[in-house]
Amino acid sequence: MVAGISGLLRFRHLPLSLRFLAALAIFELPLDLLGFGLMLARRNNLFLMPIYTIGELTLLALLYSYTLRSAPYSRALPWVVGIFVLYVVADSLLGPGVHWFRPAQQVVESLLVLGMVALYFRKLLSELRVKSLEREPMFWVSTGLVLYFLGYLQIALFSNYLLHHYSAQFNRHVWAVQMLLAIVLQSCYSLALWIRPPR
Amino acid sequence: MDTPPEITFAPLLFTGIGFMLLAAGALVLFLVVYQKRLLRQQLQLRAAEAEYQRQLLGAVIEAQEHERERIGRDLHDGIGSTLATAKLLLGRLESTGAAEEAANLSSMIKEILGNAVHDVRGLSHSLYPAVLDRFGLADALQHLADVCNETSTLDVGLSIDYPQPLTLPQELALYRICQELIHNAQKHAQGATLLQVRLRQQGTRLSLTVEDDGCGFDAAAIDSSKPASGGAGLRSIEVRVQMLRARLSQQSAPGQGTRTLIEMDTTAT
Repeated sequence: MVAGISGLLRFRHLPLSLRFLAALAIFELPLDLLGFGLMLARRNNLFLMPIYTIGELTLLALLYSYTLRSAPYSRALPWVVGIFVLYVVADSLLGPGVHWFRPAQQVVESLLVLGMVALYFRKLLSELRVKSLEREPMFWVSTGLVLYFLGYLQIALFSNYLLHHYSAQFNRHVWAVQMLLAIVLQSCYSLALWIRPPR
Repeated sequence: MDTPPEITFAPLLFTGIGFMLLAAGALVLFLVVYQKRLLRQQLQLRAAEAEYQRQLLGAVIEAQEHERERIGRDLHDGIGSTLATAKLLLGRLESTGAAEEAANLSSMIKEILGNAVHDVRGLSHSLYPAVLDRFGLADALQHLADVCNETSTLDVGLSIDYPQPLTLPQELALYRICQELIHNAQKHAQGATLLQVRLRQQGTRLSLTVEDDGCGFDAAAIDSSKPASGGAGLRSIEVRVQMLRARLSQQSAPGQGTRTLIEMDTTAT
């Protein structure tokens, strides 16, 4: 919520690349609220996951496209995102139903995002343009993403297994860990949106 | 009683997540430390480059000042005093009545003015080698060798294989390098009897070698005592070598002479 509000407040002052991050935070805000509301009402909120996944990956891909400024990446971007969107839509509609958890989508998204982060880290080390990492918004975004998705990858891989074979209490513990990772990620987003990047 | 699968799976899952988070933390930490280290190295490299450029600039300015000083001295001591003598003799010529003395004076004045003209030509050539502009590097080097053989005790041998002339700025740089190396040999190569200059061009590769059989020097000792310096002449050679994008190598040992080699790829400039 803090990241979404930060995005709304700072949107006009942000450089183009970070506007995609602000858009992501703003995009996630109503979905998070709706998902939380449905959870409190004890209603299934898993139908929000494909929308969330598609929006998150698309905006992150655009964010990294403007950050990396790499011609091969920009050429591959529409294809990768397009294929991923088609896959998510097909997997959600053709599968057992939108109310089921779809770990494969999460795993693919995690791997794609980790790939983008790896490209960014490689660029950081090869170009050495950033003098102070702690004042670089994209460093914080990438740190948040690498922490979140490396941790979440395990949860996503075993999520259906957990949901069907283990107790509700154990599932709550696992999803509490996911919430903790999400808080770390959103904190990194908020920090990236608030710090003034060095000129 | 068997352990419930949930109890065995939970530590596995949380350890897996913990391990991944540790790996992520370690990756970020490595990135921060390594990036800072690379930045520090880059800064050191830039500082060293800036220092080197500053030294080269200093060498260029120093060389210019030396050249101005030399020209000033040549004008004052050589041409200036010659013309002053000519003026003095001209004054005596005006005041003399005897025809024979006037003829002698006139002859002396002509000789002195002839010397002045020669000095002016010499000075002019040292400032800008007109023969290079008109006939190219091979003739200019030949002229330089001839002049050195006339004015110095050190014999200069020349061997040229230069079928495809370079541009005038490149030829001028090579000429100046050669001039400086010959000057260095005349000044420092004690006991040398022959200075061999070789200009070779094979395809796109060109090499200029200047080799003497003088006293030589201990290159390693000089490198360690003066790592980034050297005389103004040597630094001005380095500037020109850089301008040509060439490579300079020097081999020497006490009692075994000195060999300087400049190699360049003529397509690179």
